[in-house]
Amino acid sequence: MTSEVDKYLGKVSAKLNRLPVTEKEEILKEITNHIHEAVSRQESLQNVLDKLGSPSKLAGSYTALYDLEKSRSNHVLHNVSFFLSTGLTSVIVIPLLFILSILFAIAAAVSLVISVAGMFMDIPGGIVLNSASYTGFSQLVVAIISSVILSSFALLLWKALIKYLMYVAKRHQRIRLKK
Amino acid sequence: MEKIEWLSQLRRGILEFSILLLISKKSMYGYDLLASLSKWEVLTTTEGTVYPLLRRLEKDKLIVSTWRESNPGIPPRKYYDLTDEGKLFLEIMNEEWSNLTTAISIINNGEVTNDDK
Repeated sequence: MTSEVDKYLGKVSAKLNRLPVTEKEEILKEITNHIHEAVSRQESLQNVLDKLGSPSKLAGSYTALYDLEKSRSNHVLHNVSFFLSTGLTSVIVIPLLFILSILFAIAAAVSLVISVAGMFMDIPGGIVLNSASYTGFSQLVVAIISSVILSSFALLLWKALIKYLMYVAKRHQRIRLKK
Repeated sequence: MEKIEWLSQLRRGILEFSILLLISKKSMYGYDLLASLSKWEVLTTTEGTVYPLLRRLEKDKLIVSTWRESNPGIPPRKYYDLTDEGKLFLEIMNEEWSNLTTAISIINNGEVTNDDK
């Protein structure tokens, strides 16, 4: 028709290069005929092109469809990549985070219990920090501080564990949906 | 914002239903479909939505297309028809649609009380 149409179609075509040739040709034919149809009904060419939208956006709505199909057909590959990556890392990450978190929690509790017990039963030694020996009330303060630090470590690791589990679950859900 | 999001989600499913309904009445081509849909503001859509959607429906084997010559001077048109599978799918859609509208209207009229069930 006019050079304006050719220019428009050229831009669309360039954005459709990822598609198989027959697919691309069919789409271009479809768009060309739509433009001819509209113009033959006294619509102004500019109006028709405006309604079609920008070439990249129009091409994008076609390629989005194609990508969806492709991801469906790559179902097996998605599965393999998922299980390879998360399968290997989770073996290490999950027990590590879990055990460390539990250990820190136990350490926090133990440090508190021992220092409280020490106040009443006068366990010799107390806590040795910076080569100074803390006993009695100051020992309790140090124990509380260290217990808070230890339990916040435990909490942090626990949260990281939950986050990791959610991430894996989310990825798993996504691959399972693509049937 | 929420209203727009809700409406666009609602339209997405209904558009497919409307297109299959229109095609079930008679063979239609893209431009024709767009013009028919634009008779209702709520169904008005864009070329960039309808043409890719038609391709998807065709790939899902709900519709088939044939290029047919029309009047001289006008390039061939791509006409769409329902396949048997498409007809069956449309029947299901029709049934679900009437279930849905019935349910909504019953709720709307306040005819549902806890004693009913």
